[in-house]
This record gives sequence, C-alpha cells and structure tokens, in this order.
Amino acid sequence: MKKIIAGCKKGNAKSKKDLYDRFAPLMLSLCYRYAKNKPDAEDIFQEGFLKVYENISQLRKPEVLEWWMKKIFVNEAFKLYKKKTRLYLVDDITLLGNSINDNISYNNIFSNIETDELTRIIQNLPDRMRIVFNMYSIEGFSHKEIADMLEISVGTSKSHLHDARKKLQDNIIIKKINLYG
Amino acid sequence: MNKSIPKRHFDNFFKDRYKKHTISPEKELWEKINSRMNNKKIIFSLKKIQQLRIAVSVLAFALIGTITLIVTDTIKQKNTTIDLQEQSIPDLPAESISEKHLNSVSKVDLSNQEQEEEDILEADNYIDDTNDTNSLEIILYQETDNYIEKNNSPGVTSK
Repeated sequence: MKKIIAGCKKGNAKSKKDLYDRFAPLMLSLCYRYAKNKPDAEDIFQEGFLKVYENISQLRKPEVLEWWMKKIFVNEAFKLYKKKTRLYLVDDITLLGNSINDNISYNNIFSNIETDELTRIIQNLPDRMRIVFNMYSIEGFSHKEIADMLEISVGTSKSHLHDARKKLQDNIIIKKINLYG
Repeated sequence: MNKSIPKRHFDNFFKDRYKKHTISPEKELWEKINSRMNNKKIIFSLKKIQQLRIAVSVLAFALIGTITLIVTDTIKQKNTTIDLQEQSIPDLPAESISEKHLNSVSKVDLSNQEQEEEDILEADNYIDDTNDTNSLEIILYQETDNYIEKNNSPGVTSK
C-alpha cells in the first residue's frame, strides 16, 4: 500500500489505477448510502476520487488511508447535497415521537433483508437524516465531528440521528410486511 | 442504559452489514475519472502557463516602470540643476558671491595699485635723492672746474 501511495504522490498512472482498483468497490458502496440515487452516487464517487488524487500528497500516515478517503467521500456527498438542495442542516427538524422500539430483535427481523434493499431504504431517508445516520452509525464519526463538518450544532446532529433511526426502523418493518405479509 | 443497548444493536447491525459491503464499479467510471484527471492536468498546465504569463508581464511592467522612473528622475535632476543655475543670480542678495568675488579682486587690484604707487614714489624719492647727490657732485665738479679755470686764466699768475 505504501508503494501505491508513494506512486500516487509522484503522479504515477499505474499507482493511481491500483489505488482505484483497491478502494473503488468500498467507496462506491459508501457513495450509494450517502446519495439519493445512482447518478448522484456516481457523481460523488468521481469527485471523491479526483479529490483523493489531488490531495494524496498531504497524507502523512499510510495506515489511515481508508479513513482519510472515507472522510473525503463523505465531504463530497455533503457538498453535493448542499449544492443541490441549498439546505443547511440546522432547520426543519422533525421529531418522530418515541425512540426506536426497544423490544425488537434486529437480527431476527432484518437478517433476511438484502444489503441492496437496506441501501435503498437508507437512500429514501431525508438528506440531513441520511448523512448524519451514515456518518455516526456506520462510519463511526462522533457528534462533535459531524457538527463541525456539517456546520451544525451537536444537538441538531443528535436530533437527526434519532429521527433517522426511527424512520429507518419504521421503513424496514413496512418493507417486511409488504414482502412477507 | 436500556435505551442505549438497542440503539447500539441497531447501529451495529448496519455497521456490520456495510463493513465489507462493496459494489463493483462499471468500467466507464474509471474512464470518466481518468479523462477528468487528464483534463484537470491540462487545465492545471494552462493555468500555470497563464500564471507564468501574468508573472512575466507584471515583472516586465515593474521593470519598465523602474526604468521610466530612473530616467524621469535623471531628467528632473538635470532640469533642477539648470534651473538652479539660472535662478541663482536673481535670487541672491544685492552683494552676490560673484560681486563679492569681483570686489575682492578689485580690492586686491587696488591694493596692488597702491603698493605699486608707493613703490613708484619710493623709487622716485630714491631717484630724487640720488639725483640730489649727483647734482651736488656735479656742482662740486663745476666749482672745481671754475676754480681751475680761474687760476689758469691770463693775468693770474701763480706764486
């Protein structure tokens, strides 16, 4: 990996292709989760890789490459939605009442849902909720990091996460009912 | 605490699902990225060339400006010197330096003249004095001659 990074820093075309081959499937999965549809996901994907090649010279520790790349792609996703909707994540917080059902056994209910189907459910979340949920629950960012990146308060980030969880749970159950009755 | 456990389970479920989840990109995507990369390179090179052009023109302008300034300054300095030379005479008080100089020269001349006159007078006096001595000598000679003539005249016998 160090060799690939060093090659990319020098602008070596083969190293760039190697880096792409190594990380493209993982990053495309991430892009699909953050995007609302396929074209948006591919836009984020392209922009993300261009940013990676452009800024790889700034990467000091090769061992954090994956994390560093994820951050770039998340940032590109946020930029796209900021540009498209011209919305900031501060207003229009819709609290969805109670928290998620504590008695649900997630593995039993969700286990037979395909990941692609799960991705589609995530994609149907409102933009703000989707971004915060992905960043916190899947990527593992802290609320402070999310707040800083999205220029929102920690409280707003928590609210979006709460709403996202509730909405996801509801949508998954509805999907289940529709599928299996 | 009770609430945080299902939340964690919920999050973990998604985390596990997407930890190693991958989607194979279409071949076109790499081609698109590659062509955009090349375009960026070209744009970057063009930008660099443009920046270089701007830098060169700025430098050229600065150089021309400096040269113009130097030349203007030199011309101004020359003009000021000429002006000063022209303006120095009327600007100066009645007794100008040149006049002073002239006075001093004339004073020197006068003093020299006086000295010369004094010298002439002294010389004249000396000549006069000398003439006086000579005249006395001449008188003495004349008197001596007269006495000799008297004694040698006929009718006067010597003892």
